[in-house]
Amino acid sequence: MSGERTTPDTVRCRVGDVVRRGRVIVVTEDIEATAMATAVRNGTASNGSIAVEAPSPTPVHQHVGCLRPSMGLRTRTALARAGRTRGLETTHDQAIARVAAKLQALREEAAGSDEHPGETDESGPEESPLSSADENAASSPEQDRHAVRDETRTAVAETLTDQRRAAAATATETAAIRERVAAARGRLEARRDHGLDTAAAAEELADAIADLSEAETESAAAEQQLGRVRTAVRERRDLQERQFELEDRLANLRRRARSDLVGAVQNEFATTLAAVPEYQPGDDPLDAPPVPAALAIASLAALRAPVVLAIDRFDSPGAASEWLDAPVIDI
Amino acid sequence: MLLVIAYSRASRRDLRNVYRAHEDSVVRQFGRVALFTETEFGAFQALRLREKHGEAIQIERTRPFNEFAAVPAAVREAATAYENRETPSLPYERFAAGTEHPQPDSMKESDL
Repeated sequence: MSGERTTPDTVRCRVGDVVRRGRVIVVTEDIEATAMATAVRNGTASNGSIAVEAPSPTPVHQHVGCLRPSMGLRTRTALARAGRTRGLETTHDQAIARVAAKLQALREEAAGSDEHPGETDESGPEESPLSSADENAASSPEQDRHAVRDETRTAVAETLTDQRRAAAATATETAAIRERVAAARGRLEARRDHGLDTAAAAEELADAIADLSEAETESAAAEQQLGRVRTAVRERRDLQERQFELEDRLANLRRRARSDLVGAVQNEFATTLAAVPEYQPGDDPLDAPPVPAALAIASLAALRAPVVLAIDRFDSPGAASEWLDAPVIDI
Repeated sequence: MLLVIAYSRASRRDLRNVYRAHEDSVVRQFGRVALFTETEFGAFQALRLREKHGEAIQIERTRPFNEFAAVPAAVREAATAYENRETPSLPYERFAAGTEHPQPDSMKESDL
């Protein structure tokens, strides 16, 4: 294989020991379409038993890169992302980039002002603001997990939890020692009343009182420290508020961008839908079932990464590839 | 009641989900803020949210507010008097000047 040059749109696909190359690849081994889609996305899948060398997928691939009978589809989002592959822009793009940059700066500030900064790991790959520009930020699971993981690990929050725990513990201890003092006092008085020797009981009481004094000091200190940490947390809330506002603004901008993008490709989508084999379009193209809609979207998107095909509508994988104008890995 | 405040989109969404799934634990819900019942279950739901979202969830505990126990008479009387003032456009600072009513500055300095 060493003499062969992989051109940008030629795909190299290995399943086990079998290597195939080309724009249209037919896989005869029994593998899951989703496993192959993972390989297209990440390079390998199934513990390395599947490998794909091909141009990197664009965001629209998430939606239409694996065509299988049981698939779901977020049509509007997919359409908007397809529009992006065609170089479409919206009037919101600059604002999106600006707000995303501000938000990133705030997140870095939050991480920086956090005590023990070494504990927060912000170094995940960030999607470019425009690549996720057309979807609601909350509905991007990778971003959410990334953000949530960081938030739960802030040192300030953990310090506050530790402080609360410490304050509660010292308070409990102090209460227990108070009871000891009361008991010791009671025993001392009882012994006095009965004319018994009080030396030992007096010493016990003195010890208990000394312990109580120590415990009360500790408790007061813990409460004070708790107060200080609470103040620090409150100050961070201002930072959080600003982040939150920006998050909302960003999501709104992305929603509007998505709407504009969908509008821009809607007609082409409707036309392409009508050309999908074995499909009769209904009234609203956006209501089309997942498989025909995904086919139409894949077709109108500028795809360079291969589409995993696990459906039977075309005469041949080659015909599918031509129709989609994309490399195809037929499962 | 437990006051639960969300500080991010993700935590707000999960807060709303608690309301949808456990209506009887949520006394009141206002988008990103909710009042949970002061029960173990209410605390459980609040703590779950904090475990998942860390700093992005704030939990406070409210107490019924008895102004007769907690607030000096002068402050209570000032509030009543001011709301019944004759000149609507008069700011409180001017209203209180030269009277026995407490000044805003001194009230701001005094914790309940």
